[in-house]
Amino acid sequence: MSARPFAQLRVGEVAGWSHVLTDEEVDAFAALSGDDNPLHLDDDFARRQGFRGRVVHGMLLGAFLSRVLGTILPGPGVLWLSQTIRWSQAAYVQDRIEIGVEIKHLSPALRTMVLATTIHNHRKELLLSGEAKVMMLGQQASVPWSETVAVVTGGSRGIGAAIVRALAEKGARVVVNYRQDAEAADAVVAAIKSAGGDGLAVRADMASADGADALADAALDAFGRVDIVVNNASPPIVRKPFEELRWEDVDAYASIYLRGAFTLAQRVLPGMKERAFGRFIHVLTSAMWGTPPPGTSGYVAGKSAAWGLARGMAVELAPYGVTVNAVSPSAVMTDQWDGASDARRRALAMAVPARRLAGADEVASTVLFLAGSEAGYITGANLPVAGGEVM
Amino acid sequence: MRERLRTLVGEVFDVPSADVPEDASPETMSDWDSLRHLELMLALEMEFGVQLATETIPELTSLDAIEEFLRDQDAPAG
Repeated sequence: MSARPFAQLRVGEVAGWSHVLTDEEVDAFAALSGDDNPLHLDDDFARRQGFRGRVVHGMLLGAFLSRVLGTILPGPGVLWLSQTIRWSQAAYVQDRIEIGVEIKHLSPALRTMVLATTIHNHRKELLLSGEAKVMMLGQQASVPWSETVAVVTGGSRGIGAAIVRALAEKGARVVVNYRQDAEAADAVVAAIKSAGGDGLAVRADMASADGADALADAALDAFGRVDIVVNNASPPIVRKPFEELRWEDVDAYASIYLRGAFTLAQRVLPGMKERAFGRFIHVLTSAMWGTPPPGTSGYVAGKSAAWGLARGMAVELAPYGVTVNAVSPSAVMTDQWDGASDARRRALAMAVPARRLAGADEVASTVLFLAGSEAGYITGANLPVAGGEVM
Repeated sequence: MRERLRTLVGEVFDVPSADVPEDASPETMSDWDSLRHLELMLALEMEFGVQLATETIPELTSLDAIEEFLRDQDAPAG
């Protein structure tokens, strides 16, 4: 029996449980507690005191209340902090009791709630009333890969396509976002499907809020949920000295890295909180670490802004089982480097302690780790995938 | 607000409000442990109709801090 995510609970939610009290239960409770007061065990004694028969221990009713709190509402994972009790009438063997609980107040920050608790008998007489304060303990949410839906922005080629393949191989259904190259995106989806997986190519410009909204709509319409978001889309990276840089250049980076990621996150977050599981992973750059290369101020500013957003989200979403992390690759051998000379590539590789450049699959495997249930305790982390170039 | 707050603290700590010290805090009230703090925060939410943020909770460990927080909730932004 699994615990319900706190975000699913609602003020006003009610639950009930009905049960007929038996002689065996009263005897067992007397033996367990040592409370062999004749009021509870001796019919004649109880009748002489004006009761209809032996009186069921009040705390046995409390024990059944514990059952309701611990198994029904709020259910498994609850810690009972305090309880006020007022007994109004005696309960008797063969009474059918109706236990009712209702959520009166929820505190997400404290993961704590207040519930009204009542027990009536079958004659609708109030036996017990009171107020429970309970806490839902933190939980490690685990979702099988086959149930997850991932969205990878810029997923039609390069690092994005490698991430898509890695997620699909695990069994996730993957929404492959692209802006221009429908043929490449369709090929990635076709490869997923031919391997027995499921995916969908969605054209959307992540530089605009409308584009990010359209991507969220398509993913939710197709699969009903989004568990993993990989913010990988990027405009072409062009080096420009700062004095030649125009705000439009900076905006091109920021629009995708920040506004697109922000808008998509806002759309899919409610479902993640409901399921107490979510993963946001930004693909950033090793240029953010240490001294950035000249001519990258717009690019690095955009990536840094995304990282600022990620850190803020990480701290706020951690209580809900939603993690926000990043990977920061150094130069990765994708088609973006097709125009570079061999000498340039060799020079790049020699500058890395590992003496080689990263493969897109190495970035993908790091993203895959952060996307999995096993990484649920990692949030706000930015992992360099850089062969030791930064640390 | 101060009196309302002292009454609330008194209810949570099960002492007359007059016995709640002006410098009430975990240092001056031996019963102010983590569980009591949680109960106090819950009572604050219910009594004053506020929703606390996770990062605020560890900071509200004195009458002054709580009162300042509550006044900030009422104050207009800007």
